[in-house]
Amino acid sequence: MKKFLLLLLIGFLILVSLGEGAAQEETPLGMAVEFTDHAACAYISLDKGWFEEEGLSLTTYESYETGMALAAALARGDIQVAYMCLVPAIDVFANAKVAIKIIAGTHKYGYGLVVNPDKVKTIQDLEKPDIRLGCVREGGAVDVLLHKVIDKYNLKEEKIISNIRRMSPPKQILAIQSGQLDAAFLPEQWSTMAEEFGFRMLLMSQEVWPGMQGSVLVVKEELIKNHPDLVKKLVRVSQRASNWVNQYREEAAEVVARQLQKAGGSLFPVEDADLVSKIEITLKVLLKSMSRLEYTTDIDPVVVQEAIDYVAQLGYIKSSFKAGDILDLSFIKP
Amino acid sequence: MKRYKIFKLKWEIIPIIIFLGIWEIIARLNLISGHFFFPPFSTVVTEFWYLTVSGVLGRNFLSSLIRVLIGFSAGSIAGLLMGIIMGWSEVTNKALSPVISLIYPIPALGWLPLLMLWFGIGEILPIAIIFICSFFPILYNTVTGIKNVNKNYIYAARTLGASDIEIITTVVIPLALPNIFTGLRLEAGMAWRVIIAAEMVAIPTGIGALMMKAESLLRIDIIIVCLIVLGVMCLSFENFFSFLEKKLTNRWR
Amino acid sequence: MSSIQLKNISKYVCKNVNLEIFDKELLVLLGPNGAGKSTLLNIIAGLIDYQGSVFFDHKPVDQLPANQRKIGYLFQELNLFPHFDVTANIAYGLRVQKQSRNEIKARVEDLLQIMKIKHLSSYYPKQLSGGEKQRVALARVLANSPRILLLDEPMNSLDYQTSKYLRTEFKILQKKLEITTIYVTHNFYEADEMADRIAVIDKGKLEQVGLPEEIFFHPTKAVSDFIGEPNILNCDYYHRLSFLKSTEIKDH
Repeated sequence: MKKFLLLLLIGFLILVSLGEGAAQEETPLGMAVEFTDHAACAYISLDKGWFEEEGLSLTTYESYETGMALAAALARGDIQVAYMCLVPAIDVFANAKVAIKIIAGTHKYGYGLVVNPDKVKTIQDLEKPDIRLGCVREGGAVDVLLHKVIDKYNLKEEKIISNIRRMSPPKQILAIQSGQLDAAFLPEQWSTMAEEFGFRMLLMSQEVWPGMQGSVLVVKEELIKNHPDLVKKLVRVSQRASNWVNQYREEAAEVVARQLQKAGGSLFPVEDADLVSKIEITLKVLLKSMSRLEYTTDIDPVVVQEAIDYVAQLGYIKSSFKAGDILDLSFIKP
Repeated sequence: MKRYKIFKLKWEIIPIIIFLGIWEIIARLNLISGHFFFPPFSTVVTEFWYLTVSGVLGRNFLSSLIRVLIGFSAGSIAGLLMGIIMGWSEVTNKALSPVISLIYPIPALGWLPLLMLWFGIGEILPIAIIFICSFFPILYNTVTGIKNVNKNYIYAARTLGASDIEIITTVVIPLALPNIFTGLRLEAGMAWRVIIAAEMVAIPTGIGALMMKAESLLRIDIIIVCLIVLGVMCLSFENFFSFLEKKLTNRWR
Repeated sequence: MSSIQLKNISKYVCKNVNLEIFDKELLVLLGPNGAGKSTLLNIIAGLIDYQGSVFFDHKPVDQLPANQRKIGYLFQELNLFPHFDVTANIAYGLRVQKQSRNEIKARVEDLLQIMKIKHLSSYYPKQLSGGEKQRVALARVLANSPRILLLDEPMNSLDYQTSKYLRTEFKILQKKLEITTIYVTHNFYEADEMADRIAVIDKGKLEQVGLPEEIFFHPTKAVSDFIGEPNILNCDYYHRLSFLKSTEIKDH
């Protein structure tokens, strides 16, 4: 009996020390971005070596298909810096209780509803029973936008929800190509790409949610605590990239196209890598797509609060919280 | 005797209580920190209550349950009937056995892509998957059970004047029940595992779909609730058939 | 009840077997293991196919399937249905003949009485001793009132006492019911005790058919090799059969 208790105690101590040990590890600078032109700033900064210039050495740089996949990775602790959509960032903060802070915006808008013009002529047509509507999983920014659309145009929620086919953006593009979807809510650049396959942009986020925050720059709170200088540098790089994108739009599109093509082949899980390599993201598409975004590091706390409250209303997070809890705008230059 | 049973039950529950206690403590003290968000058991219970009261759990659970019941019943009945025919008739067995041995080892989920293309995403899809996952093992177990019935009993029944049908219904099937029940018991649990996977991939409603939704919302507490529901259902179905088997065959086994 | 005629029966080890069993007689089929005894029984019962012809009362039954031949077959392994209790086992033959519930009940009661196993009526075969199983099997077989009874080494697995007791009982029963019976054994003394006539078979060939005394005192060479040297003691003996309330004295 005594021996057993002793073993139990040792086991308990080992568990505790493991936990401690993990917390004390050195935090490398791992960065994650979404595989879209929402992260144009990041791709451009990487391409032009601006991170290195500021003395930021990235140990990892990963692209994720969707904001939710990125959020999960953030929760797991692999990443310290992320360019991700606002809504998944809210999820990760509220649900997974990961200590992150939004330190800057990256762009506003950048989402759209594309439709097959033969099958869907008006928004109300989305309610028709035979319409197949593509959308990412619950918890994504696009999904939240979908609900905003339902609210704004007084659509019947059950009808719309029953038409939804949940898939990631690359899969939706392929489905559109093969005629398996009649409409899709997509983030840029995917929504513009759909236009290449005969779809028409029926609604853009600008029309549904004025001032909608697109992606944000997010860092782990401990990075702010331990390396505030690094965080300041990150914001500086983002601002520089943001200005540059607005000034040299064509060059920017070219860089992003190149980076996306590169990222597509190697950084996706095997099945999707094949899909993605089949889809060519052309310069023309990117130019058009990027013109539909508003690149700026400015971020409006009111809009953020609106988003938090709405997401809480949808039941994606248990309860609302103050935007101030997740925002730290002290690093954006006044 | 009754006192003994209660005493025994206590000993089965105590390890579970200890386990739950350890879980609660570890989660609250945040011992496994940084890598995964690990909700305490009490949070899971609260979420379970909330999901039940709001009807979300009930709705999704019902969806999954109906699919399992329909698919499993259909698959079992078909498997039983086919199994009886193949077990009894050597000719039929020889004719169909090679084809079935090729199809049988394919894991039920392997059929998913094919069925998705054939049936699209609707109620038929999960029911079809469960049908397949039930049909083959029960067919196989029924054939085995029937073939294992001692031929002498069949001879005895024959000399007593029984026709083939009477022999099948009064002698062969009852004696094959142990094997048949083994199949039913295993597949009842399996059906739940398969439905979850099918719902995770393709269907918007059901426990599996709820789990996927929870995953993309990073709601681990909801995932754990779903896992517990799943575990309980697997166990219940398996125990039901165990109980039925005991009731029907214990007297003479 | 029927007489049985086997003409040119060939199957497995048996080659061109010809045999007649008279109506109401108890013929013992005697021979070593592998001689073809069980094969002949199975052929008469119609459980396996064969070359040659089988007749009951000189009417051919080759086309008649096993479940229509009205045979009572007591298997060597007894083959009591393990999932039925004693009552259901005995009633089985009557059930499949679609008899009424009352008729079945009455008949089963009758047989339980005759076989002295009324106290076992709700037991399952796994709970019975060898001798008890034997009696249940016999009751089951007699339930349908078969015209022919086939018994395959029925005393094989029983101890000496039980075996002797059951043999005596059975002999009396057979005479009472007047059923044509073929009784298979490899034990000569058993054969001697039970038989009206004995047919000795070896390696699929009928070596000798006749009364026990004939076989005993005038065996053919092959038969004598099998049955060996008899022990003969000249004496009188007295045998009381209590429930027949008569005595029978035989002397050699």
